[in-house]
Amino acid sequence: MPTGELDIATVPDFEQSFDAAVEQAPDAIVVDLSRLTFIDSTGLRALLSMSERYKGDLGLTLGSPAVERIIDITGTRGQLPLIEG
Amino acid sequence: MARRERDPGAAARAPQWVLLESMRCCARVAVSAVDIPDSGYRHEALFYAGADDLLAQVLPFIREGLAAEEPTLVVLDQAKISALRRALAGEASGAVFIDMSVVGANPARIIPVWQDFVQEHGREGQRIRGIGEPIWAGRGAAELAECHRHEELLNVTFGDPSFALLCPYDIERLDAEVIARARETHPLVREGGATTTSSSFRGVEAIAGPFDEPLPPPPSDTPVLEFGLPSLAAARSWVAAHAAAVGLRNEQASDLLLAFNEIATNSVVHGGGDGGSVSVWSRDGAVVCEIRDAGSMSSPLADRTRPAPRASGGRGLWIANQLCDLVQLRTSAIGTVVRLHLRLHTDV
Repeated sequence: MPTGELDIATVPDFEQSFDAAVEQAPDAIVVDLSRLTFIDSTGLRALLSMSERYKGDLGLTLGSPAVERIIDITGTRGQLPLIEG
Repeated sequence: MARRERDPGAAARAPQWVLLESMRCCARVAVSAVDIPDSGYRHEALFYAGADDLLAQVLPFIREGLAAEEPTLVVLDQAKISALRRALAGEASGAVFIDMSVVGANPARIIPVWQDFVQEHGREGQRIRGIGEPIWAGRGAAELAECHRHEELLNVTFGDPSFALLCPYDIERLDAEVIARARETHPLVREGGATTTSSSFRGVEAIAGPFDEPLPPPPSDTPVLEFGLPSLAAARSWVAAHAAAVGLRNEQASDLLLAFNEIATNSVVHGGGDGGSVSVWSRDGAVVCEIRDAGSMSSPLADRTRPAPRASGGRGLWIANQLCDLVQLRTSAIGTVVRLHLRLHTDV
């Protein structure tokens, strides 16, 4: 579960943790975004790229106003496997 | 000096826009005093005197388009749209109406609306008509500067489609300086019922060059913070504190922070150095956040192009324009300045 701020400085760590989770070959992965206080287009791009790669096996939990805002502004709701938080 | 290419694929994906050929076509229109094309791209300022005169002048233009079954988009304020709808009665259903006071609140959001309309209807040489009035009495100085830039950029954006765009200017209510600027930003001018080429049109090639019109200086003693990748989060906190100090609250404060972060990230990635600098002040009821860096931008439409759904980058300026009331972008060989404006809401 990522917490705090997801931006160009923290995306590499986030992706690393995600890849580590994927390596354990789970049936499905849920990334809980509800505790993110900030996310920008770099963070969104990371989520879009994960969603593209793990279509069907990934869920992203909403609940953070910052996440909702960037998704609405960019019109990318339909490209993300969102779960209501 | 680093050259920025925010999204080099954008021009290739939108072959009807930003064509050098169309630039040449428009430049030719600008220098020719007799050869006014009656088909193809027309960008025309219409000088009118009051609401009744506007109606009298645009109704034939709309009816002509509807009779020829040309897709027609009218972007005016709600009062003018209502008057037009009443006058057109049953014919009105053939045209699309959009409230300019909504989409044009930030003038950088208007070109994407035209792009969407032309993309939707402009296939196979289909002729298209538009009426757009981005400038009204009461626009502030910074807004006016960006409206004139918007009018200029329309000439760069369009050219290839058979697109006739009429831009009304109310000579009874607008300053003479605004009307003079309209002659510089439009290749064609319609007044007294006649269309002529504008001898003061700046020309598409000049418009497509780096835009570095001077901005008014910040208040003296405005503090400036340098930032880079390691200090980006700290810079966000600094901006948040300064924005709060001048009265920015709640969603507006989060929006400014996100917009700042997008522009600052561009500075870190493309800024021709390690980052940039930021300052925040308030003026005329708006909070202004200025980001400077040493990079320069090459695409005149960098801040008008809707990112492709799966674009890997190039979203920063787009996002800033969706979040802010106004974004001023100036770029030259020595650097880039972006000013983000958010009008202070007095009710929160």
